[in-house]
Amino acid sequence: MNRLPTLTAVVLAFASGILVFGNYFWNSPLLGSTSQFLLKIVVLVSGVALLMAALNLAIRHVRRFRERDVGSMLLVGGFVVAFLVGVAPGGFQTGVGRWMYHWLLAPGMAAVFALVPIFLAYALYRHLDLHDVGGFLFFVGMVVGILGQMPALAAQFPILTNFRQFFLNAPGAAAFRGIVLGLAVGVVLALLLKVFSIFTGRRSQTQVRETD
Amino acid sequence: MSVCPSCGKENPPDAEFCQYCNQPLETPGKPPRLLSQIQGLIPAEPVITSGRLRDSDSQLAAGLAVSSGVVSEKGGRSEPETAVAITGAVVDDITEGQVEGAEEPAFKPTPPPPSPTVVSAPAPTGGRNALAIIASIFIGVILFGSIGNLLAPATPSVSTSVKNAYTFIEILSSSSRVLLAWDYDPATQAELELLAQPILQHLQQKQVNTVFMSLRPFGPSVAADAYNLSSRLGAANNMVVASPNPVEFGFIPGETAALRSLTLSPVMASNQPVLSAQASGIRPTETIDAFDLIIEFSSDFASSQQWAEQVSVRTKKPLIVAASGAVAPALLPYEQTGQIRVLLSGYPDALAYESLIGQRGPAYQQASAQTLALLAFLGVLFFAAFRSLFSSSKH
Repeated sequence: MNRLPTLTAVVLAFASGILVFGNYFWNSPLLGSTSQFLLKIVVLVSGVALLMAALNLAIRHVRRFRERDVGSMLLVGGFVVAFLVGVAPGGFQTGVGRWMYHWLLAPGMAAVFALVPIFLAYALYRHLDLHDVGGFLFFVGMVVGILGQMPALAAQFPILTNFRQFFLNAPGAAAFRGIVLGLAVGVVLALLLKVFSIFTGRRSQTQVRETD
Repeated sequence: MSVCPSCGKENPPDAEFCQYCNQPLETPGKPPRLLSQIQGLIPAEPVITSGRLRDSDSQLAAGLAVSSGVVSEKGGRSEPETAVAITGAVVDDITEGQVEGAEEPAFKPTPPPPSPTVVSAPAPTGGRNALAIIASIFIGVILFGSIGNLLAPATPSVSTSVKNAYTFIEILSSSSRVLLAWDYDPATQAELELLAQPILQHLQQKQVNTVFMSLRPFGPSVAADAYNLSSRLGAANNMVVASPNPVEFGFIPGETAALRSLTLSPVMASNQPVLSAQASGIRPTETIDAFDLIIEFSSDFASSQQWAEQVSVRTKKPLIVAASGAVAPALLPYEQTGQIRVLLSGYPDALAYESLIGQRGPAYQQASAQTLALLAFLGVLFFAAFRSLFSSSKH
């Protein structure tokens, strides 16, 4: 009897999944509207989860705010201002929001991102090791990639661009496709095993360890 | 099974630490490793309270850092990044000098016996100076490249992808409708705006109807910036004829869910369905096929992946993805399967597209700076490679 709520949740999740999944194969209006309704609920639930996370973060930093933690003061202040601007009519498209975006957010984010190549170069300077196979492959890949997209060189020597493209098209794409497919199959299998364990009442190794 | 000497519980045979109390398990015949030494010294309970270390804990942490050979004993300071990489926030606090009474580590455990498997961190060699020099080189070459544009190619090489994208837009008529998705943030605006503005100018020249939307909260803002820049540049070059203003569908949250809704009914998926329907002329019953072309500007692999997997498979209308240089290689499999009809990437394609529409825009003006910056990066890379070849650290 105490498993009833869990089983109900699993049955509902399974039914929803099958409805959305089926809409990929059968283009019926009923399946379409049903899956659209379900997807809207997903967005709403995600929104609520995000609000809960933001609230949790705010509560933690408000406590530190009271202890006069400067970082938390800035964080809470920024959070409140950004939230108010975001929910105001026009959001970040008009007035104060537009000003904040143009003079605070955009330059800040761009500046932080612009530091990435500098730190990447520094990390290479410190840690690149050609004795290591991975390090050597990384080095070769970077040289081919950089030479192939240098504007002045690419115009004079198209072979460099072609060579870079081959590197990306053949080994690079093959490796990535393997990762994507493997990940997808792994996720589906893990979910099926999870559902199966709930239905049959069998506990996974992790659950057993947690209970003990 | 190995039994924990501390709590007496059973653990898997290959476990190095007890799963219950986090104490190291004794495995005879196994050489000690640095990780084992460090984790063995760290208590099971966290030692940090309110972001600061207690005296006793700081001494313990300082001691373990010294014993591991990561932190030099002189003044109790070392390269922060090396220390952080190995002992985490505990040593971080010490190296930043935030710990009270931890100037000299009082607790110095006996150094571990030498072992061939001990991983020794590379000795710091003027790390901060190197960072400053690298940063100065980059800033210097970019400034120098911005003064003159001597290295800009007169006729940049144009890839097949760029030609295809150009053709897809060129064949549109003034009654065509194009959906543009702005899935990037201000962080990558500098790169993607270069690619977006010649495409936007081309669309404006063709006087097609455009609809803007985004899967990211800042999408509408970056879209407005790109559109304004494109209009300004076009006006300066006397290239743009009056084209209809874009219809704004806005930020549509939900990634996969948003795109699934969009394929079923773009108008209903937008923020304001009634206004969107009136402005775009698309009926709520129409699907994604209401558009003749879909273009996504993306700095995020996941977004482009969703476009390819959720939208492209449900329509025959072509999807062009203009991605940042870092994301594009990961999207190549989708281009090979045809889910992404054309994949453009980063700076080189922006330069090529500008040349196709006969404009010398921002990409052309940055050609020298881009070339010099890449050369500088290559220089650092080769220096690091030679340095590593002649260094003694071998794995």
